[in-house]
Amino acid sequence: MNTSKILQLLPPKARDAVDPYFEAFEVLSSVRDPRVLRSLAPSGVRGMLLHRGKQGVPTKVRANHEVHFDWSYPADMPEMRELYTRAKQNQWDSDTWLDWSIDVDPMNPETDLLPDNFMNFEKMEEFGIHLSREEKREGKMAMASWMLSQFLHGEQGALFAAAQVTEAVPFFDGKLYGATQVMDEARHVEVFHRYLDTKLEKLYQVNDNLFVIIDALMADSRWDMKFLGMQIMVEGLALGAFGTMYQMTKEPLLKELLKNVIRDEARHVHYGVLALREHIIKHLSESERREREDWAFEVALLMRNRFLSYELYEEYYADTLSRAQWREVVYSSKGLEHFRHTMFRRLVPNLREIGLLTDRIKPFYAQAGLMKYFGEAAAPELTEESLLLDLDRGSVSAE
Amino acid sequence: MFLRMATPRLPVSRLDVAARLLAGALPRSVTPMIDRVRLDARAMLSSLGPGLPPVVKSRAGQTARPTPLEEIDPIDHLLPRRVAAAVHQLGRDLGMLGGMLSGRTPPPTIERGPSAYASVDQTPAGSLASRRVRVTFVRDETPDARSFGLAFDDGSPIAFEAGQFLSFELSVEGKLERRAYSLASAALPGVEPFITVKRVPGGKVSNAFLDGVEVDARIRVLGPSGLFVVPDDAGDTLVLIGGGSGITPLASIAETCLRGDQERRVVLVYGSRSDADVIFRARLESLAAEFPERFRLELTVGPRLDGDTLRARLGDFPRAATYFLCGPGPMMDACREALIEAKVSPARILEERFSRRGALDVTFEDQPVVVKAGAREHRYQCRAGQTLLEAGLAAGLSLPFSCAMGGCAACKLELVSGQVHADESSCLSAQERAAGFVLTCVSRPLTPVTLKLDA
Repeated sequence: MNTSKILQLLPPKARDAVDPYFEAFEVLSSVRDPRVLRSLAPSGVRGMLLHRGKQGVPTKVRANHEVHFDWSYPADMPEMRELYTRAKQNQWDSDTWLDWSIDVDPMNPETDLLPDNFMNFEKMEEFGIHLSREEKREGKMAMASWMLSQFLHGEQGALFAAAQVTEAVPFFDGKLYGATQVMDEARHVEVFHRYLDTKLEKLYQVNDNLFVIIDALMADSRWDMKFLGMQIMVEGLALGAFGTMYQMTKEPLLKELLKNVIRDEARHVHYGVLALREHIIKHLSESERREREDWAFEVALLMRNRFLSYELYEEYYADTLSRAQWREVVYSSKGLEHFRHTMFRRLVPNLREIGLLTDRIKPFYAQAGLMKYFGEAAAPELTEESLLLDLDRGSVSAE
Repeated sequence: MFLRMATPRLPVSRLDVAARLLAGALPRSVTPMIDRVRLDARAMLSSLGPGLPPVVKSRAGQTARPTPLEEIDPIDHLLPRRVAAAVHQLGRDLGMLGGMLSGRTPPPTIERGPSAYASVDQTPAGSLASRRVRVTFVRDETPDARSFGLAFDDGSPIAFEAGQFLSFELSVEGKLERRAYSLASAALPGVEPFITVKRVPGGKVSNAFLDGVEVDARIRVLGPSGLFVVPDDAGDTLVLIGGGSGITPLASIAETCLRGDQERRVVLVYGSRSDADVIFRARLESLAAEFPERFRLELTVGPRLDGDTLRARLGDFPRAATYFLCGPGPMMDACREALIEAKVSPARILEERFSRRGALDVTFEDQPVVVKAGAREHRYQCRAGQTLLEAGLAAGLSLPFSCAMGGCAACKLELVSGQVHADESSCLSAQERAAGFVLTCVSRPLTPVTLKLDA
């Protein structure tokens, strides 16, 4: 159904009021696999229709997973044991590793939070919004606050998902490693919250689409779906988003903060690939594998298309732009384009590595323009340092 | 921050729920009457028997009161907990849907409560605990000066500003000695931090360093700290004047500025006793070759730099330059005097002194200390010989400090009354001393004292 045609028939105010619901309908109706739809729809309703993350009260999500105990403490996955050792050795204390005395001035061009071309101000001018230099700077600061707020909310999801995964995973070495990830995620929540709270002094609501993904993961009872969702998809998203900001920011505290977080995240994705590779290829039926393959594709599209910073729009531009115009501004921004590139460069090879990018689904990825990332390096081929080095090299070309 | 204590509430009874339902069903004008009847009925019932709990005193001494009528939610009391939660959720969902459809979006940002990090950010850790560094390399600079590469033992980076120092704690002949050494490396990413120690004849710590510290040695340090750094308003030119081992922070400032800054010019006037004593000669000459337009290097070998030598050069320096002095005390005094004579504003002269005075020849006794912080007063006892900072931290106060050896002024507090003996106070400016500030880390009370801490 072409919803944009129906929307055109409505008066502007009514159009903007129902636009979020049409958008939600569009997302859900585009899902091809009915099993994927069944798994995502309840979360879609809770996140996109009912805005459960924004109701002003703590959100309760019922968890249904099984806790897996093993009283024989098997050494069942040496690679994961090695990852556990590395994680123990690489713990860091945010109080001493980061220089919190740095005075962050978002209006100082020498320590720009984001580059000038991160947002598409030219497109906004086409729509009649002319911003002064200071207003643009304020807009970029708001965008940085919005992004970091979403990182923070995502890390809260990751913290609880890592705890669930630690309970549910059937490899004992994976449980030990999982515990280090729980600690990592707690630290990430701490540093992002501290940065937002003490430096930018602003915290945005959780984005509805991010809420949908987190809600779906928390509620799904299957451990491998939690793994797929959290360790591959969300961590891949995180690597894309953190990497983009790391490359683009000139603010020294934020850069150092992201550098340390990225090192941790690289391990997390590696964990996901190790845990899922054998499970998906050897232990799932073809039908189960296909469901996960479709699920990953739909979530990838959701992540690619739907992080549209509407919260920022509502704060600053809702009186002057329509939601459709805002979408155009965001879709055409250099920052988002770079984010997509970094994210899929990490995500697609990992899906290939765990057996969720077979010939059956490849045409859909090709249609979405994502097959160019197929031959890139997957997590097990990348160390924390090589990943950062890669980002540092990329920052030259991003400028 | 003060949290208001909630008034203790009595448990909600069936009578309360019935009254709330009735008030909801009838016009609002009769609500006060219903509430009065409810409270009277509660009082009567409580006097008749155990039906309703009486008005009681809570542990905090406040009287527990019945829940106000408008705060009673019948759903919470009539339905099982899980069902009640579902009904509330349904209410919020419908409210959100209705709001969205009528054009009311939820607020984009979340209201922030009091920050959990404010106290962490404003005061350093509440102990004099030091951290361990590992020596990563040892390199001879001159026959009696040696550089020591450093890394924190826990792997965290040594983040510092050019010109800052680390305070080292070394055990020499069974006694813990503390000395500050400037980081001599450039404060730039990818540069391995190091200090350079020059042998002082008879100097306990410098000799211990040069004779006993090898690669992989572990030493405890405080810091980095220090205010001998390039201020934001330093202007276009930095004039660095140093002698002997005073070159260490100056070389760091010069290299950091030249490599990390695109604009600023640097003049370095550096005096050494002999050719063999010139520390960092190759490093400085290579900077001069690399930045011929922005860096002027003036090496003098022979007699100590004095006021006359400096006066002869002053005409070459821009008026708005910022001056950095570091070296032997007499050299610094003479240079400072020459600069003041030449009408250089004292605010544009930064100095770094690390000389320590001899052993204390004063007798101390236990003294009471009062620290005023806003409207609050903290009292503690300072034992004979303890510094104000040591005793304050031991008493659990969150006092500011950094180097803990009189070098950085992070611990300065205003002395409101009483007398102290300070064994080192060189980093306080003349104005700060005149305004009554003391460094708590090196001050010991001679009488009862009162200090003021900005709240």
